[in-house]
Amino acid sequence: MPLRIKGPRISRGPLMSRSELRLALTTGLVNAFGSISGLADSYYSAMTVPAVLAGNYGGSIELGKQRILGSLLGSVVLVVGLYGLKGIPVPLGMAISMGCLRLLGGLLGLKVGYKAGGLLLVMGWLAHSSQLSSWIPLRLAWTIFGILVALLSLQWFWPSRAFEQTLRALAALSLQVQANLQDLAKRIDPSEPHAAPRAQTTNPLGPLRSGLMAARRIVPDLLLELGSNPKRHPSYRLVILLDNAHSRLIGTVVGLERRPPAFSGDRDLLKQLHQAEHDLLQLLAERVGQWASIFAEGGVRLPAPPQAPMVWPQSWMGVESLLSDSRCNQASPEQLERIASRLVLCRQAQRAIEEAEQGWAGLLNG
Amino acid sequence: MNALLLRNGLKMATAIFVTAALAVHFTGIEYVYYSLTGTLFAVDDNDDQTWKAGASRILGTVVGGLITFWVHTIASGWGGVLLSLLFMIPVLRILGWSSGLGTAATICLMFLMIPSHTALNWDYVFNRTIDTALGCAVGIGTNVLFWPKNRPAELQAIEASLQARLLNQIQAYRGWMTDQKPRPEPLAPAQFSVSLQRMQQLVTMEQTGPAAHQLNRRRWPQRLMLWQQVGLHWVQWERLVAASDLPTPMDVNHPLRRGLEGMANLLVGQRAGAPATSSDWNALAQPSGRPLLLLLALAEELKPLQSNLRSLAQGRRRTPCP
Repeated sequence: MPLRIKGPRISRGPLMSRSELRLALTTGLVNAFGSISGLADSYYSAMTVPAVLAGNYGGSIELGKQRILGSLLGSVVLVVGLYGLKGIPVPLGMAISMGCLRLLGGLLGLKVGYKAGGLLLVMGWLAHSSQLSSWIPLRLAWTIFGILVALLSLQWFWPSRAFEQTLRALAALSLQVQANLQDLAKRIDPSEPHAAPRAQTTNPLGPLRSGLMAARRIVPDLLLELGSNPKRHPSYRLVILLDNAHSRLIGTVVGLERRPPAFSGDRDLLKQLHQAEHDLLQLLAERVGQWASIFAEGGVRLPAPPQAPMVWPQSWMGVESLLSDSRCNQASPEQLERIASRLVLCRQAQRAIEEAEQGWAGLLNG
Repeated sequence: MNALLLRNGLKMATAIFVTAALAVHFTGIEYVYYSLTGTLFAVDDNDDQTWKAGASRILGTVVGGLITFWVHTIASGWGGVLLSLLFMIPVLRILGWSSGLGTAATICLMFLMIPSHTALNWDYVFNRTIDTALGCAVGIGTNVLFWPKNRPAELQAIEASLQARLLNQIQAYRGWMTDQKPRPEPLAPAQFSVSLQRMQQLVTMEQTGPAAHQLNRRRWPQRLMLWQQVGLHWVQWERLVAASDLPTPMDVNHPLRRGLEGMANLLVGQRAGAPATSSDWNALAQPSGRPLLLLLALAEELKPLQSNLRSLAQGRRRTPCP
């Protein structure tokens, strides 16, 4: 059940979103501070604020560093371009310099910071070329001040609540999934031969589905909060990725519930198979539990996936060799069919978690 | 240096060059920075990949400039900036042009704070606002111009190559099942993952581009998910086929062969025949004493494989590609 959401109708929202009010207040107040301070060129710090806040890429400290690097790079390219390209017409010289700024920034791994750096380049080239040596250090200082204040405002003034709320809802959902996986693992645990099968009347799908829906209900708010092109935003993409992973995990839980193990603890081979399944489910439950605690921490930044790599249980790694064990033919075909389809479901859950964590790490890195 | 970076560098250089050349030609060098600021915001945001978003940015910028002019008659300096910004937001929002806020805020600062131009008059404000809007327009035009046009075609090509790869492999299995040829080497998981990752990238990028509606109309996000499932189960199916080491030749009613032919049919848009039941597999296992669990695991992998291939075929029928 993949999530499909249409873009928000921006104009139908309240008159002012918090991010817009934040932009206005931060820009206005930074400008006021600079103006009252009496230092020259102070308005450049305010000009940097919309450059940081209007884009919707995010306000992490890492991106803040990149923006400062972008400004430094902009001032270097400005000096080199202004003196090196003296003879050629301004449009051409500016185009070459800006192209170089973009290329060099890209080569240095900058994702953002071109607006701050580019503004510095444009204004320095066109408005202050005669007094560069005094202008650049001052301007650079104001730019960096603007970036820092903009970042702080992102962290302090109304940090994106919808993202935090979505993460909380996902944390609750992860805990539900974890409980279900643990329960499923317990019921197949060969070391507990008397594990009672759960009463058939309980249906885990209801609570799980409503947990998923609770997370999805916040997504329109998240889209509104993330600015003019929210679907490009890593926060939104992470939410979609996690939604997808949880959907798949719920699919496994429901599938396993519908195919309860035909338990017979006396046969050695079946015991081994059940052990493998138990160990995998237990590990997956633990991992989903780790996700839940990561989501519960909340915060405005994109959370990172669990650091420790997944180490699959030895019993699960050896499950394929068990399949071709001829002793299994002692069991009834129905029992074997059940085992086979449960193993497919377990593998699907395993891949759901693996793929989600790969995509998650990818969002943080790129 | 990768192609995307080069494209971005060229895009920035082109936009800046065109804007600066136009601005120098029409208004003289003095105020070129207004236009260039507009360009810089429009190119760097990557938000204006659609004409609609672009138009709202331009109109938002113009309205922001006009509001600043209006506010400056009652307040100036930093107070004027703060007031203009606070007033601008609801107006832009009511008009639905909020994406112009970033540029509007910047020209508001330029109008009210750059010392040499504190003597604002209507002509100045109007012309500089138009300059900035022109810069935005060039930036947006360049964005759309540089937006890769071949992505839908590339998606199509990746899907076709996945299909061809599977059909090819199926053909090799047919040879193994009927002609005593050796069993083909399983497809490496990387062969799927590379294609699928590229598909994922393309879908993510196209979703925010000018042709996003086409992407959704052709159901690419859903098709991607289906292919991911096909890749996952195919790899496992092949491993189990290798592990089961069934004797060949296989007759037409052999459960494995029926499953294979079913997949081949689905890949070319035809119906798969009835799948083998567990008693068919049991009948295969009984006389030879083969591990039935392995065969049933094979059968279980076939179920999601066929159902995902069926959904893909249905999707293709519903949304024929041009």
